[in-house]
Amino acid sequence: MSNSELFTEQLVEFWMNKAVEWGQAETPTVQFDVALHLAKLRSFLQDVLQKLHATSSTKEMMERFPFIGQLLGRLCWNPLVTADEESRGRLLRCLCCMYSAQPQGAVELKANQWIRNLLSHFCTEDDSDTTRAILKNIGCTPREYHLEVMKNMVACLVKDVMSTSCHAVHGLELCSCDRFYSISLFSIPLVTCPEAAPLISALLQCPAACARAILSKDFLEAVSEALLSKKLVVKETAVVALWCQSVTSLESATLHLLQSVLSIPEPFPQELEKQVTDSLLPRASALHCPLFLVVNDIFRTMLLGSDTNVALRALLQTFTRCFLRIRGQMELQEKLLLKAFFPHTSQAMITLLLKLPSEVPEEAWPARLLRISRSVQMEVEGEAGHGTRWRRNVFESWFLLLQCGDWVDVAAQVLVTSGEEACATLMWLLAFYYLPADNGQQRTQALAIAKEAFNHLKVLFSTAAPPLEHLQALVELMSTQSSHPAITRLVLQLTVNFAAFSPELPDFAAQFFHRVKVRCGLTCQPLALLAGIEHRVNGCAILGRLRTIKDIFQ
Amino acid sequence: MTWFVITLEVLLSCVWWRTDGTVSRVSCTHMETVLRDLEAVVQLLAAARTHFVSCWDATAVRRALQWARYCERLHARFHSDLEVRHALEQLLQEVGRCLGGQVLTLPELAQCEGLLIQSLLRNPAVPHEVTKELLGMGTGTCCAGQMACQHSALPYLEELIQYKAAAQLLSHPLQSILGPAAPMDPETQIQGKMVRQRLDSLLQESDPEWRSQDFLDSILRDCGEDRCFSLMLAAAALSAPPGSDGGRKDVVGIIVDWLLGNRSQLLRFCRDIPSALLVDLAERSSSFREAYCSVLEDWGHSLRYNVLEALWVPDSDCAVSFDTLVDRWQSLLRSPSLREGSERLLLEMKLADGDFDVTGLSVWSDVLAWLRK
Repeated sequence: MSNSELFTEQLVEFWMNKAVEWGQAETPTVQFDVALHLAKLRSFLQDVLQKLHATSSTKEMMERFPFIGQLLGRLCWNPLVTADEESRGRLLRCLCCMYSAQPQGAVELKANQWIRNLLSHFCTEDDSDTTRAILKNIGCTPREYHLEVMKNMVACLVKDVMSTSCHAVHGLELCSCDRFYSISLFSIPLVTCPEAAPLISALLQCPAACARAILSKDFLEAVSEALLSKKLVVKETAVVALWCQSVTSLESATLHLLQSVLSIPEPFPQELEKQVTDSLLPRASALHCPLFLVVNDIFRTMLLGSDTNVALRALLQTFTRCFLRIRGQMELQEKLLLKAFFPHTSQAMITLLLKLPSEVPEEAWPARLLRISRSVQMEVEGEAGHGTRWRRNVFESWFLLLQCGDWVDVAAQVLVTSGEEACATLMWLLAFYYLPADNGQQRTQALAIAKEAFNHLKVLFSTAAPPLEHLQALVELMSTQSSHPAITRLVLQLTVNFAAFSPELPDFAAQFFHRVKVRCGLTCQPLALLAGIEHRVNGCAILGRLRTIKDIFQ
Repeated sequence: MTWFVITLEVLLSCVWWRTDGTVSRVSCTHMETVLRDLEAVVQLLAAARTHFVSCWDATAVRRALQWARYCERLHARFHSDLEVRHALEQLLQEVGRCLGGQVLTLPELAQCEGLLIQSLLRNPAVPHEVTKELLGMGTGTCCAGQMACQHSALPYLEELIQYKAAAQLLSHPLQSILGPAAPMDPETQIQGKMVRQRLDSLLQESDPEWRSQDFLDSILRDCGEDRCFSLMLAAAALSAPPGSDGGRKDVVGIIVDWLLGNRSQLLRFCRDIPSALLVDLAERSSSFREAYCSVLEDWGHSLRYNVLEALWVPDSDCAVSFDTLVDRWQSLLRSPSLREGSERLLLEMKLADGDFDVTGLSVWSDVLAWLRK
């Protein structure tokens, strides 16, 4: 590429050829080609626009890119290109940029004239006499008129799509369901146009069940992108229909949720729940088992990469909670058995864990928790030999526990008032939740520290004037320099639960928490834990207590 | 020349709030302001087409766009208020006369922004910086980069191109769905609907018959020879909800009256519109049915029997072929409510011709023979 040229000869030739080719006819084949190259065209136009801004004059631009006028002109006249929002915007801006405010010489004057002609033609090009007559006598703007025409076209197409009743299997006679493919092709540039949303919806939920009623892949991708960037808004049923037709779009949606959640280190439950519900993934998963399995697989893969990520755990917990709630509201005959959704776990575990604590009476919690803990313990410590199958079982049990993290939260609460025997079992459950792998005795160590902390806490919250060394020891345990972050969190969780659920909040509490805040640098974590408890419980007394503790940390 | 200079100064010194504020209830003083504003805008639009624009600068064109948008809001607010509309129409006539015959009609006020942009783009006297400003890339603008500046013509142009392109794109799959035999494309349907809505509102006013006739005449004048005019009229008549309320005139009645008053338009209408739609209209309006049958009768009488070829041939350019005639009668006979009457009419006409059953003597007996096959 010579210094004076802006783009390589091949690139220019490529786009000129494309522009000519696309201008020949507006057939589905051409539209397919346009859809294929749309992303590249957009970035090419962006390049052109940037280079235009960088050059000092139109004359210079035309010397370095001689065919620019022709190319822009051809593309401007092609509705397959101008229907796309980004391409249209960039094309117009290129033209406007090329207009010289102070033209020097004949070339720039001619360019100015050409641009003015082109733009004024857009105002009235191919308007029939009838259209002009209507505009003149009725008094609506050209924009309103063309908008109404477009809306009417959309309505006609929607009616046609929704009135198909082609069965899945039919004889050798041809049905006309292959028209949906071409409709979807021509709708690709319109996915971000709000007036076209009814058509997009109708295509996604098309009632034809025959094998020829398929939609273009590029269309499905474009819809998925538009949904994620919020440029398209359709009903829930349409989104679910999209996901059922295209696994890629489901994966994109899940990754999008993950990205937005994982960007917050300590997500609060209310906002997280709203984010998860708004993503429509729990509902879609509850209605369609295959969707759930795909989403779960993605979560599983993420987990294998980073198991101490607080945000990811919170997400898993929230997702499963929303999922179970929605299932609870479904009609009995609509529901598949839970075993279909969790094929890798035993029925026993499913029955124990996959019921929200809110659906079990509080008195039954301790007994249930003990059974849970013992079942998990059996999975982990039971089988002789530590082969691949054992490792997988342990991972799946842990994964399920993470998903049903609501029970772990409840365990921490029950610990506050439980006896010695139960305490050991529940403590094991907590330790396993935070540190499932026992490499280098990590979990055993965590368990020991947790027991120590628990003892300190028991003493501190049951006497009026506790000995100071318990206080200091506890703070020491929580300071992050000395231990694994997971252990710190475990101890913090125990502390927060003791503070919230002990019969009385002792006077030293304020001082103590202040010390924790300053010495260990923990503010976000306790607040998140408190928010979690708040989200879960009812009752003014407990909420009042939580507020008091929150004030200390803020 | 002086009026223009004054206008420009008024515009440039205008207080910003007027172009941005909402148009509230009309009061006497407010009315005066509105009329004054309108006068200024009309003069502005006229000036945009002349060489006076050569003294405009970037600010002037920005202000001009704002005024045009304000004017559109005025129209939206007042076009349904009869009194105000009369006042506005009178003002437009007056100003138009002063400007040398270039009258802006009230409906055109709704397109102020578009008209202004068009005039400026087409006027070679517009300075280059001004056009650059119009296109949103002037030196003083805030956003020459990504977003289109609100104070330029770009948003208008972009939206217009967007909807036109979308309509063109969707017309392809629609064509294959509707098929070549489809009576009306979506655009004609919308045009018909708009005409009907306008007629509906005209019916609420005083002297509705005269107003609607005038309206339809005006559209005809502007449509010229465009075939779509008849289709649009049919779309307007058929888009009205069926069943009129008692003796009051409704849209179908108005359109039929207009057709009856315009013989050539009636003939054109009956020729251009597909028979199924004509039957629909005949079912709704008895006066149209009568007129339609009389047209068919005329068509029948302008056919002559060519003995050598044993065919009925039209004797002039404006007559239709025998096949078309048969087709029209067939559609009438298919309609459950019109079948009896149409068959009776055919029999009467055959009787009047002598009631022969031999081919070639009476066009009506041959038509009946074809239909009975």
